[in-house]
Amino acid sequence: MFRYYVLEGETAHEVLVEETGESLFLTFRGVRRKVEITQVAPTRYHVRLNGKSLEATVRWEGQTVIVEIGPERYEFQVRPLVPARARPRGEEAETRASPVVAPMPGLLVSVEVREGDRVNRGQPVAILEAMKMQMEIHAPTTGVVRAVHAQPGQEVKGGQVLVVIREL
Amino acid sequence: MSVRLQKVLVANRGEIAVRIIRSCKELGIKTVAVYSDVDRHALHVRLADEAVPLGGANPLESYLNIEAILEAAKRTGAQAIHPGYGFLAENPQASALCEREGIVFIGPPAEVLRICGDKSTARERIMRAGVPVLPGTGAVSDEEALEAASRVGFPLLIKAVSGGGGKGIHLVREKSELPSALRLARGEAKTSFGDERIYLERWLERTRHVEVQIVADHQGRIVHLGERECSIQRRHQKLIEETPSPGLRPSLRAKLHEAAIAAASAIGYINAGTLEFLVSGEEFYFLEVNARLQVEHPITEMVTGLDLVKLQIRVAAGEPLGMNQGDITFHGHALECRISAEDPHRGFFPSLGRILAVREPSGPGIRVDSGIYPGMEVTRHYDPLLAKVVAWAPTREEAILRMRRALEELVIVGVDTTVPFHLWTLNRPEFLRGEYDTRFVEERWARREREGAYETEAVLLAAAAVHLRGRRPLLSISHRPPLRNAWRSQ
Repeated sequence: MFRYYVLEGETAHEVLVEETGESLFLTFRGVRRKVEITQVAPTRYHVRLNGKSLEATVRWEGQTVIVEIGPERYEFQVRPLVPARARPRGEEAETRASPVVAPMPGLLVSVEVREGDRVNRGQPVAILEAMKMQMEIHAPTTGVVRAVHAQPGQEVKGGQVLVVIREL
Repeated sequence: MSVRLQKVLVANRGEIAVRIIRSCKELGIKTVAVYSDVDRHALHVRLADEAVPLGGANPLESYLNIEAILEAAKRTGAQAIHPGYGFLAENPQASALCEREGIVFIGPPAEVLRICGDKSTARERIMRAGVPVLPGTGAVSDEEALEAASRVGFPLLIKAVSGGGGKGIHLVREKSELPSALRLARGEAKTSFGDERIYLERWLERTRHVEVQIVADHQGRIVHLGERECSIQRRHQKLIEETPSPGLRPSLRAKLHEAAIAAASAIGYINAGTLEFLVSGEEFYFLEVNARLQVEHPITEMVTGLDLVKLQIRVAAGEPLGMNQGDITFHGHALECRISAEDPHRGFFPSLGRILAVREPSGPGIRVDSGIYPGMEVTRHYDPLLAKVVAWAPTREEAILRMRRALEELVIVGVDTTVPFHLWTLNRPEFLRGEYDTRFVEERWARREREGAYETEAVLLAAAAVHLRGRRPLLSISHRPPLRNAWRSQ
């Protein structure tokens, strides 16, 4: 018997998992269900829950499990009941530096700030183009530009750090 | 005087290139595809009879490269070029160069495109024909725009003079937003259309976006093929279209059809085209001419039984339409859902990546126009439209139910798509009642509360996924082979 907490924001759901031979039984909110899962394509699964049949997409983004069924998307953190080791502290020193990241892959059209510039929250720091759309990327905080990590004309990845701003 | 076309070059990519190739084949016309490096295995290339490489992924080197495309037409002996939509479709120079080279441009003549492209002239002529228009400007510099803005009134839109497809459009609610919006709009106009000219137009809140399809031949005959309701949009790009429009009273519908014919006649329109209108209550205003085949043309085809690409080809070849308004009849209701590589859960941001598997819907009353295949790379260079699902049924209610089941069948693995948005919208009471306007996405979808209909299933799957992760699984999560037969998989 295994016990998991499935966390979504503030909500925690407790799920019990039993393996019996080839079968998997899950208990949630007092109901025990036989769960059968067949992969039908990458990240795509056919799921039978006590005879109910549906298709869903399940994928991972880091430690987050993303489940998509029909129009809905759920993003969960799942923790076994055994508590995970406490996260080491000591990140405070860096918390005052805010990275400005590309929200998606694209072509960096321009960088509007230089190292040492003072910026206000919401001020545009760069312009990114993807699929013929240009968008301004704004400073998340008021501060001083500590570093510029990307140049205009450069292809950037989603999540890539473009500029680092030190909060004042 | 008409030409017998035997070979057509399709100067486009994706679903629309596939769609055009289909009609050509049905007419017994050979097809030539052109392609950029990244598209060399694309569906349109595989389906065409011949294929000519153009160059790099950047559209300027490939699908916007008029010289290379003309050269390809001459080398392959294609007598005509179909530009599809976007790229060269509304470019008067492309049409003019074709005329000069003796190649048929399957679209309006250069002169018509010039008028439609110069939005201020088109507006002026159409206004004189008695069709109401919104306040706006001609092409303006940034300085002129700042000055003209108060005259036009806020909120206003900045639009690209050579624009189309919702690109280069920016909504400006107050004067302070104008400078930065002008800059973005010009940047987009330049990269998308190679023309950084922009103009201003008044924006009305709470409107419906309704357009009328027309076709006109060289002999001076012009007919309309009914309207399309296109109010479900994000970033001024359509997501769902339907015909007939559920929100028009018969008298208003008739007025719109008449206005479309009057407007098209006023500018001497030839070939297939669309007149866009804003509808606000019982009032309507002409917006612009889309001088091309439109993305959403299939819904018109479903209710009229006509093939717009075939009509375009015949008209371009100089043949008469061969039908009167009275010959055109409308049957049932059709809806289109655009399936784009975007994440509707995160503000419809583009979702790039490789498509790993595809299952397209089928069955009665369903049509899928698609350009995707497993292994296809969705890149930032092109429009995110992957496929269009079209549902037809005798009534609107049945068409919506049919669309819902089709979208439940549709699976695209590898990139996020607009499917969750469509499934949600097709269940909304206001959509079912036909009571929606252009603010639907920002007001309804963006602010929705999740219904949690699948919460139990999702929680169970998440727990099972974590439990089974990284083990030789007990279950068939990976030890049984995937069901490849049911899938187009890599």
